[in-house]
Amino acid sequence: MVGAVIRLEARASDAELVRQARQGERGALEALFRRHAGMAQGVAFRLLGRDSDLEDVVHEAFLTAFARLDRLDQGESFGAWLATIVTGKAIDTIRRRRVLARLGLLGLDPVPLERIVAPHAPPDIVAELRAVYTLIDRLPTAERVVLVLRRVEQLGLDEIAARTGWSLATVKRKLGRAEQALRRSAGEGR
Amino acid sequence: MSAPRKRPADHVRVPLSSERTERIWRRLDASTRRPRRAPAAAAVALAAAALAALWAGRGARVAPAPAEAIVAEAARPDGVTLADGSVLRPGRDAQTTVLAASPTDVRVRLSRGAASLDVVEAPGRSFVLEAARVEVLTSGARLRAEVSGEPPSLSLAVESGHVAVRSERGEELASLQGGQTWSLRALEPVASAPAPRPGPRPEPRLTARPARPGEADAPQPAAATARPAEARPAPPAASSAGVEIDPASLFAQADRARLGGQPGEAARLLERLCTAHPSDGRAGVASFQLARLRLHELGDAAGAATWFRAALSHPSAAAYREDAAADLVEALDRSGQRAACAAAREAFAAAHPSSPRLAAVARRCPSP
Repeated sequence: MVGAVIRLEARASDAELVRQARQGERGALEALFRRHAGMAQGVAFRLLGRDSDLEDVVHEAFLTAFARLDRLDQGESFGAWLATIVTGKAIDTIRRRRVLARLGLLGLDPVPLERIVAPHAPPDIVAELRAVYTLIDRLPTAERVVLVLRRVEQLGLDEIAARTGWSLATVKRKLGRAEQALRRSAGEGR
Repeated sequence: MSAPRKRPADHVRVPLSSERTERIWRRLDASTRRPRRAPAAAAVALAAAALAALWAGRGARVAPAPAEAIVAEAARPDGVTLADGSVLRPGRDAQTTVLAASPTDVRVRLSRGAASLDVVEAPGRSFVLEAARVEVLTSGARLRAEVSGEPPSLSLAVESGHVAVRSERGEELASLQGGQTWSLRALEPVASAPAPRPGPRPEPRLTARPARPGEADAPQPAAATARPAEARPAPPAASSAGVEIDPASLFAQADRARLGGQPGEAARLLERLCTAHPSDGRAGVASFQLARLRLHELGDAAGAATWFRAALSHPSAAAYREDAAADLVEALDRSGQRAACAAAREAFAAAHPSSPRLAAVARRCPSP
């Protein structure tokens, strides 16, 4: 005997939600937010290395994305597009923090390594993350960002260029310098 | 077959929580619902407000409200609870109009008499009390306001929380903490002309006298709370209106406005900081931020170029010089100042040959 077939409503795709959001459906905006909020917070946190400013970066990124939905050619790539916006906002925030710190208007505490690295991470990953996050505050913003995108997010060079809007040559050059600093830093730690 | 190895990113402990996600959503929801300020929109809002829930004095009824202006509860014996949870308690002869009351936008007008307000903390919610031609803004406070006389005078007593007072023209008149009182007497009609006006000025008075418990419910004449200006938490500079302004407060308010999706308001506050406190440590960063808002949010490339130049000439420019110089090229390009753009582009290439922004800058204002 063949049982009744129940047709389940497929989850609305990002493309569909983007289409509805462009027509002013607030529910679609909320669905897009809830679907991608975790990813956005993850990208922002790993780039910032800290909890502070995280909510502002994510809020600003979604605000920008929602205001510019009409510029998104392919709705299904909303997630990747949002990650690019989050990255841009995080870069702005890191630059702004550095400016304020240089002006003595903001104190930068060290990145809290114990709280960043998950407790059951494999030892080699722990070492990698510690090396990167110990160094990043000492790097110029662009080098810091490409290092995190490469070493932590494990993006390819093309993907880093697309994510940051910088040329491939710039990404290679910045990454080269960041890697050099990472090696020096590892040497100091021995 | 072994599972694919996780990326290092997957081993970073991101502080995710449903509370945080909800908080961000509430802010976002409020920001995306807030109407943009425009003369036409303001007129429509005013017309809607005229039809809004209107009531005067204790025990007044609530008239049918427009879509966004909903008073959640009018049955309290001593006041009303608004849709955002804030409580408004009008004094005996108070004339109070609830112009808008939604979870994200509350605007109350006090035309006469005294009223106390318990404004609940709500991120992303805009709460404004209009009284005697000024706006009292707070994100959460307990305060008492009284309007008396003709022309109207205003006195404020803040019991807890933080309150900002600004004029119709948007100038910040005071920033008050719990325990402070403030009054404004003999207000002249505020002109819309941008230049500073000669003639009589408002006479704000600020004291650090603690507001006594229960004071909010006991209306007093305005003069009773007016004391000579005394201590203020941080001694700020004098503004064009002869009123003290705190640059740190301006900077923080601008940030909140920017993050709350109000770039125009943020720009106004930053411009105020830059012009009123040019030697403050924040003025350079504020000029830079203001220029970026004008360029990217407000569509004013020419104005942005002016502020980028101001930022670059500030003593603290070293901290952001590269970005400001690159953005200046973009602003000049977008405002059609081709010769200036080309010069700025060449200057940038010479000063920052290894900048990650060099390629993008080099593409600006190409020779015909």
